[in-house]
Amino acid sequence: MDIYLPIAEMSVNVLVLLGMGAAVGFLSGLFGVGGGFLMTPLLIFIGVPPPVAVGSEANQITAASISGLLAHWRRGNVDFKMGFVLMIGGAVGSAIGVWLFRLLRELGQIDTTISLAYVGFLGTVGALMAIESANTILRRRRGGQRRRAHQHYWVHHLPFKTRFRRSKLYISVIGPLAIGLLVGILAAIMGVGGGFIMIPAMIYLLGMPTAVVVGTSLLQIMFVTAIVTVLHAVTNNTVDMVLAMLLLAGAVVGAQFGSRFGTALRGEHLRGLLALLVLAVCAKLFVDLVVEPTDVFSIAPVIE
Amino acid sequence: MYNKIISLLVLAIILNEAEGARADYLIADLSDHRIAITSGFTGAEVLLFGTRDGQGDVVVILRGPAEALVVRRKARTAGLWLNRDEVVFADAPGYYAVAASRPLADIAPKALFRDLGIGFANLNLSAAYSGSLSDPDPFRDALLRNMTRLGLYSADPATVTFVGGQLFRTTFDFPANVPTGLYHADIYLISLGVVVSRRTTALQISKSGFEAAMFEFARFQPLAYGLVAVAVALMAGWIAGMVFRKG
Repeated sequence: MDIYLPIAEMSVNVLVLLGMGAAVGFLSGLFGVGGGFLMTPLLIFIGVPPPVAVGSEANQITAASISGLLAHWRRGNVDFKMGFVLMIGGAVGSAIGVWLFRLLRELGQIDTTISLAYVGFLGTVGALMAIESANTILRRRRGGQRRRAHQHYWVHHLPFKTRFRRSKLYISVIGPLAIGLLVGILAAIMGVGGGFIMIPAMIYLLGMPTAVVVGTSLLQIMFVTAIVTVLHAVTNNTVDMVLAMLLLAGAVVGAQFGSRFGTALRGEHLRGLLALLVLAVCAKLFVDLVVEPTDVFSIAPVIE
Repeated sequence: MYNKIISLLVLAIILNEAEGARADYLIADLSDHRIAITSGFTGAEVLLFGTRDGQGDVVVILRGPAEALVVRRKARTAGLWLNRDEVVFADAPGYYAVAASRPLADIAPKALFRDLGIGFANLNLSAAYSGSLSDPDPFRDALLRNMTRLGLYSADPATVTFVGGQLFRTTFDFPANVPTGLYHADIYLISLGVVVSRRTTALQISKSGFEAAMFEFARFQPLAYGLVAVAVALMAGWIAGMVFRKG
């Protein structure tokens, strides 16, 4: 059963889209991640134009993050003050990101930029996770000691200090603003929520308690992907609502199975598997960048 | 299909009567003048049929709406294949297909097809490129090659087949990614190397129903579209969360 996507202007099998949504949803439920970093490359692999993949995936992440956000909110696990500071950075970052996206699109370099951004971030995050989970597994086998809980870094000594009551922190706003900004740019260019950057940054750089990290990052992700969706719709006309909603339908079902399955596995094993998956996607994108294409010429419509 | 052919025969007889003894006449039409791209659209096929008098050959050319296309060439840069040079073709047809009753070389001298713009070699493509680039020809070839790969251009003429001497028919295929707009079919009757008769007919391809509404909404009211996309996403995500929280 094929469906014509009105903005992507292509015909795709509905079952393929639902299946992709379910598969990525399963993995995001299993690993507790958003899944944008897997879905956008997958969409590009099946032939969706990269700009449409990015714009539509941002739209889907908005939908995917709200129910998680509400659940964390009910349990009081959202630091709204921290979220607000992150969102200010995120709003500026997404505006910069969308502007940059448009510029690169006119220059004909956006597809390469998206791939390079994925290779860089997936490669780094995947390698770090692989090392971390391997160390944990080895340490557990040897029965060694654990890491210290809380440390102070240079980000805590910057000016404009303010109190984040819910996070039990008294730190500079520059750190969260900068994190929000970076995540906003990434969301606009890569079509991701940015949790894979933001959550480690909140824990290790800002020293936020793990309990409020996920809820607060979901608030930021929902807000930033919503802004990115609107900005991409206005600037690039690349948001395909039909595509986003089909992916969402698959993802919500997949995530339920994933989260049930995930409780049966140990944390470091999960992270190790996720690292392998991330590195595999990274490798595929990298190979596409360095291997000589079958046709070095490509055609595209001229952007007015 | 048999119904179509029978109706063609009836049409031909009627037309024959109407046209009387006039020589060199040519009549042609398309099976559809409007193709709607709906949510189930996976491509379409259109039949062109007609009747001719005498012994001439029939050549049909179908052109889609002109669009501006940019052709880019990748080159290895620091180990990566990056887009480097580009050539803009301001008015490339979005669709281009030729059909003929015999190989073109057997029908008329090359000069005639050059004048009519029939065939890849005679396709008029104006190239705009920066001074550093010396030769746009590889880019022109790349445009033709890529459009052919997309199923939008065809290099070899399709066959115009005759049914019972006077009736002729041929089909054109449109892939799912066919550009929307007004298409023109030019039908030539060529005898002894000259065009003795010519007809033109048009075809409109447009998005329809839900697809058209979404596309126009996104194109002409992008801010409202973006806000609706966010609102729909929040609603859908919230409802999905509710459903699974109970289960």
